[in-house]
Amino acid sequence: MLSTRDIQRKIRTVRNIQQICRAMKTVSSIKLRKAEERIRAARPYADALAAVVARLAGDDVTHPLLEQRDVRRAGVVAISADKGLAGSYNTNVVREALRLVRAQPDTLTVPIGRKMADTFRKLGFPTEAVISPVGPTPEFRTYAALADQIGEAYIAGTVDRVQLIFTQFNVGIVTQQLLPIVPQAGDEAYRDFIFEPGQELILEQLLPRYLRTLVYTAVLSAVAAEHAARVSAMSLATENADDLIGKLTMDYNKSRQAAITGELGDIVGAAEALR
Amino acid sequence: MAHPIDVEIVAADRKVFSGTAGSVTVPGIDGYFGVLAGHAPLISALAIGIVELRAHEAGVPQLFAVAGGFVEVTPEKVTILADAAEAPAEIDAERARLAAERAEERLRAPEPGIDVTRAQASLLRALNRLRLIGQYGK
Repeated sequence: MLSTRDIQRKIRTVRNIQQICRAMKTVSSIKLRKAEERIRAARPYADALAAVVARLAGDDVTHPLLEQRDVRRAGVVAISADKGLAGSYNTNVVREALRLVRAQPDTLTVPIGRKMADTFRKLGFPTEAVISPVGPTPEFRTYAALADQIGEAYIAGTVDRVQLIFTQFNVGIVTQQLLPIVPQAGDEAYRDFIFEPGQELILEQLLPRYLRTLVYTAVLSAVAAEHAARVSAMSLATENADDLIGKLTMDYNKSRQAAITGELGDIVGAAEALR
Repeated sequence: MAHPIDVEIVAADRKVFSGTAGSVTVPGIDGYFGVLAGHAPLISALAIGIVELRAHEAGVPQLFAVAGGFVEVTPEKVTILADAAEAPAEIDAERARLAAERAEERLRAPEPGIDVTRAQASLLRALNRLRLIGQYGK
């Protein structure tokens, strides 16, 4: 049984931790809002590009980034957070990523985020590129360069299929094929369109850009999901601290009452003895 | 210019402009071209240059510097998907000037390992931005 004073000290500690959790929750919800704004800002370009790709792909077109090949070597791009304290966010995505990487021998990987990068390094997976840390604000330029590198590796035949695994904001863990590019079927093809300078050349410009937005928007979504996970983890922790404080206060009162009862007993006992 | 046409200019990480215009002039890869409402459907690659939006023929044009990307034209709408796009107010003159100087320096004395094409593109982008804000010959 802890002494009254020990319990009091423990209550103070829990209260302090609770305050930290509450602060982290507030900070994360602000970061979440900013991350959502960035998703919104990137959406018009990504949507418009996807629409053009979808419509172009309705025609009979060929391009090295669309080419289906037998998979001799697979590639996996996997996104995690840099930091923990986000509930099961990292654990889940890392576990799924490992499953994906191990599904094929000698898979070439591109870990994004410190947790993913550290895990892959420890397990000795071959990496094409590593982005660690992701940082607070993902820059389009960084991921455009990364996407270009992945595209080049695909065209060079280093990998024959590339999958992207990440936590999509408001959805959960998503595995998406990055390469070869599979355009979503569009409603109308560009049969009557004029192409300046020619359909092939447009495609050559278009597909690498499409790849860039796929990678960039995935990172934006993963960052938003991370902050959302942290908000809920921290608000849960705050509630748990409340429960704990309630329990400890009860213990404290009991222990205090026991001390008083004990002292009373002593006094009464002493008085009786003196009589 | 009876009908206005919808115009949207988007860069990879943000929407730059959304609205309508009487006419749009776009720097296509094979030269500038104008678009009015009812234009034939077209997809063109973009060069580095300046997009001009005019409410009507005599109007003061609204300008944007763009660098690379695409334009998609349908009879009702022009969508400009630019690698980079800025209105004059968004351009950092100092930064553009520095970028231009750096690129010129690289091109003047090309060291081995310097990507000349990239330096040229970088110079063109910087000069384009400076031209838009009128700090470099018209």
